[in-house]
This record gives sequence, C-alpha cells and structure tokens, in this order.
Amino acid sequence: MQANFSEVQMSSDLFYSFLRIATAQALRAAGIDRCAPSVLDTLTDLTIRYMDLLSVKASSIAAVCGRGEIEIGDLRMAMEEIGMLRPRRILDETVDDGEHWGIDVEDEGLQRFFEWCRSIPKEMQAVIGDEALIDGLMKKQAGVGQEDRFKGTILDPVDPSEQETNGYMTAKIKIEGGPGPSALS
Amino acid sequence: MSSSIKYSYTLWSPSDTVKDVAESLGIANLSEEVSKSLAMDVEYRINEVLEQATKFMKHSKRTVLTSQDINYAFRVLNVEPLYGYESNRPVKFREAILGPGQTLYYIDDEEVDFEKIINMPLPKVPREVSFTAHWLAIEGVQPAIPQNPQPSDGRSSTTGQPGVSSTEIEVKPLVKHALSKELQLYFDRVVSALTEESSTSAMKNAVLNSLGNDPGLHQLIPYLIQFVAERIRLNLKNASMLYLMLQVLHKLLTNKTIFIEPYIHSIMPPILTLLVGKRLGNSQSSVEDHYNVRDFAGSLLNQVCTNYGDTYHALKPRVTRTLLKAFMDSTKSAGTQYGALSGLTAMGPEIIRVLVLGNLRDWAAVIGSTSTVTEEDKRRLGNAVLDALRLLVDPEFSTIEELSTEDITKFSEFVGLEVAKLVDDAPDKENIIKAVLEGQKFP
Repeated sequence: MQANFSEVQMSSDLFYSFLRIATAQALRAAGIDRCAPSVLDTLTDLTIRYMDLLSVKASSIAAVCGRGEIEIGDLRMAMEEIGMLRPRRILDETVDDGEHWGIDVEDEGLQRFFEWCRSIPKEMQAVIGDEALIDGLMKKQAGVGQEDRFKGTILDPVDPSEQETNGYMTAKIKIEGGPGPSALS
Repeated sequence: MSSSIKYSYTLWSPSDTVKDVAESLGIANLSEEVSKSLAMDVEYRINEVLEQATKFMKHSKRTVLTSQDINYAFRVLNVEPLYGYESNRPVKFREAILGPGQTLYYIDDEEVDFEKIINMPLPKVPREVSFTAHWLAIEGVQPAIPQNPQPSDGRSSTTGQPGVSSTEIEVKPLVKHALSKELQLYFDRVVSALTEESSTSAMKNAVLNSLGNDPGLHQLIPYLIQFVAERIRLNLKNASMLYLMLQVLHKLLTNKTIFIEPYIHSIMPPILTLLVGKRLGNSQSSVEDHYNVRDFAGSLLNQVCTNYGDTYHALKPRVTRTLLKAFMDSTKSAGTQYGALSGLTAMGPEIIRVLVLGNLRDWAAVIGSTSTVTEEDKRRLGNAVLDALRLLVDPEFSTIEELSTEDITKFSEFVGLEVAKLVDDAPDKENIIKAVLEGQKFP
C-alpha cells in the first residue's frame, strides 16, 4: 500500500512546477523579464532548500523546548540562526556606546521584516489562507460539468466516510464482485 | 616521478574531454601531465559519488538512479550541492560538429521569456493513493468481474490459436460450472454404491465415510442433494433406503470441509418429508424400522436447527408451521403425529409451551379414539409426549414447592386423562407436573 516510485515523482513534479512559476513571478516582480531555464531551475532549487532549512531549524528549536509543533517564536529564532534577521550591532566590550542601546536598535532586522510583510498589497493579502477562494479557483479550472475532476487527486483528497467503531476510525472500502444479498436470509 | 605518463587508465580522455573543458573556461595551454592527473582525479570523484548514490538507490528498493540520490550522496560526502536538478525534465544535449569526426555535445540553454514559462501547461495532477478490494473466488467459483482474469485470456495462451478455441466449447446450459472428470466419476460411483442391490454394507460404509470426511466435494453438493431427494421420492416404501439416504444427508451435514449453508433450504424438504410423511415403508418393513427413520430425521432436524437456526431467520418459523400443521391434523397417521411431535420437541421448550401444551388434551382424546392407532403407536406417542413435556422442566425456575392434590387435579384437567395417566407412570412425574402448571401460568 505504499505509493510507488513514479507516483511520488509525479506529485513532486507537480509541486516543483508550481514553485517554478512562483519563482518566475518573483523575478518578474523584481524587474527581470527573461532568463535561461536552467537559471530558473537553480533558483527554484535554492528556494526549496531555503524553506527546508528554515523548517528544519524551527522544528529542532521547538523540540529543544519540548514541543512537537512550531510556534511563531521558534520561527523567529530560526530566522535569526540562518542569518535572515540580523541584529544591527553585536555587543562589543571595547566600544562604549551606552546611550545607543535600546530595544528598537536591536530589533532592527525584525522590524524591517515586519514592514516588508505589511507592505504586501491588499489583494495579495486576501489570497493568503483563504480556502474559499482556492476552492473557487479549483472549480473554475475543472470546468463546467466536470466539477469532480480534481476529486480523488492529491489536490482534493477524498475523505472516506469514517465511522468510529471501538475507538478506531474505519474507512468504508467497496469490495467488487461479491455475492449479492443472500436469497436465503 | 616519470616525465611522460603514456596512458591514463581512465575513461575520461585527457587529450579530448579535459582539454575541451579547459578551453571553454579560457585555459588554452594545459600540459599533458596536468590533464592526465586531472582526468584520473575527476574519474575517482565521480566513482565515489556514484557509489554513495547507488547505496541510496538500493536502500530505497529501486533500480533507477535519480538526481535525488546524487544530491544525497553530495550531502554525505560533504560536497557542495548542485542546484537546479530537482525536476525530472530531461536535459537536452545538442550536437556541434567541430571537425571531421569530432562532435561536441553541449546543453541547450537559451533564454526564455517568463510569460512563456508561466503559461506553459502544468503536468497532470496525480491521483491520491487509494486501494480497493475485489473477490478473487467465492465458494470455488471465480466471479466474472473485470478485475479477474477472463477465461479467454488463459485459453488463448494455452492453445496458441485464439480464434479456434471458441468453437470447441461444450455448453452445458443449466450448469454454471463444469464438473471435472474425476468428480463425475466419483459421483457415479457413489450413486451406484448406494442404490445397487449388490453393494455390500462395507461398500456403503466406505461411501458414507468418504462423504463425511473428504474435502473437495463442494461442487457435487447440489447433485448429491438432488439425488437424495429423488431417491426418497421414489422409494417411500423402502425404509432401509430411506434410512440410507438420511445417513447420506447426515454425513454431508457433518463434513467439516463443506460449506453447506447455501443448500440448507434444499435439504429441509427431504428431512421434513421423512419426519411427517404419511406412510413410510410398507407392510414388510417392521414398525421399528419405520420409527427409526422418523427418529433419525428428527435428530437431523434438531442438528440443522441448532446449527443454522440463528443465521436463517425464516428457517425455524417455516419448519414449525409445517410441523404444527401435521400435528393438528387428526386425519394424519400416527406416524405423522409422532414425527411432528418429536420435531416440535427439537424446536425448543418455548414452542412446546406455546403451541403444544394448550392442545394436548384435545389431541390426546382424538388419538385415543382413533382406531387405526396401534398399541405400539400409542406407546411411542406417549414417549414422545413425555419427552416434549420433559423439555419444560427447569428446576431453577420452579416456584411450586410441594404438589398438593389440588394441583394434581388441576393438572389432569388441563392435559386430559390419557396424558395424566402417562405422566403418572413416569418416574419424574412431579417435575413434569410442576413444569406444566408453571407453563400454564404464562399465557
């Protein structure tokens, strides 16, 4: 019952192409119009590895705190560890700068990050986390009369009707070709 | 160190490949020794990476080496990763002809507009992993659903001529599955051993033992049951034959390797016939034989009802209806009455209490006055009645402590004189009287 090798490849292909498009959009937003496809592949790969690194670091920090799930604080610490958020100044005993130490100075990297987050235009903000919007898009893509096109695929996994018996969830499995209802009973 | 190493023992040719790469990087003059050492080193590194990558491939139980394996190998060897090889799209190499016979292969890498990339069709959305189940064979028969191999698949591979085989099939219209030659032979032998005059009792016993213990008889069950039913129909006068047939049924029912449930409803008619049939056996067979048949049929009925009465809800009511009809009909012979009564006993104490108890007095009166009932019959019937009444006895449930004369009079009024006399002669009459009186309380 394991997904066979080609199935795993197919789903990772799909997600890779999604990310590739997103990378292309990001480059376009930065002002770059064309590039060699190998460059785009490389950048997509870099994005994948970066997100991977961030999530692995955040989950290891959460594990150190004894938690199984990542909280926002873990994510922030992970960002600092990989160098995304850097403090403005690092403590140096030889320099005596008493009056410049304040919370806002230390936090500058983080504050800049917040400003960037807030600067996302309103339309983009509406898309983030909006499940109804995504469902609507999927239906539109599936086309009229074929609303079930994405059902049963990885985008819309079928939730088998689950019944709880004896504390275990069991899914209904249809068995084909069996005998009909017994004529004897 | 030797001045000139003639051969480099590598697949990478130092003069061609290494030189081409050096030229593409802008290094025009690379000495022979350097390029040879470089080629050997490069080959060694590639071998190292491939070794680690094949280990990953083997542990993933695959035979295809993927770029992901190479990435893992890099991580293990502490080498900087190569970016850009995640996707599975094939890398296209282009040819460039430099001189006579010399071709250079390079990767085609033209600049593409982002619009084109974004509007490219996406790969197919793969289905989620799921599974279904299907019946491979039910009761030895393979259902013809699309998931099972079709019979034509096997035939064409064995004969080698797919077109010819369709005309060679003998169609048996009434039979869903064809019997093998061995099974047909076995069936004929069984039939002849059971029906022929010349077969000895040893042979009959052998046949019965085989029916009771052999596996693989499943496909013959409908034929056997049909044979038994027909024999019974034709031989109602022959008590020994009837007894033999009942033995066949008994063996079939006790054979642990046969799944007899679907055929229970076709077994019931012969058993019931032999239990409540009007006349079993002729004047030549003894009375005892005739009653033996009924007793055997009754015990078979008991066995079937205990084993299958719960799974088939219609079984017990139907049987009870048949038996009750036979019991209440006073024109039927004594044998019928006896069979019906012992059958009802097999149904359980509730049946006796609800159906039989109330009718006992009238029934006994009719039986007593009928002339065709012999003394032997009466004795047997009496025993049957006592057995039925004994079923009601439940020492834990009795509320009556001592029997008063009032109780005894009530009892004989209820069940009638004949039955009261019967009970009086029985050794456990007190228990029976108590049980009947209590049974009477609940309507």
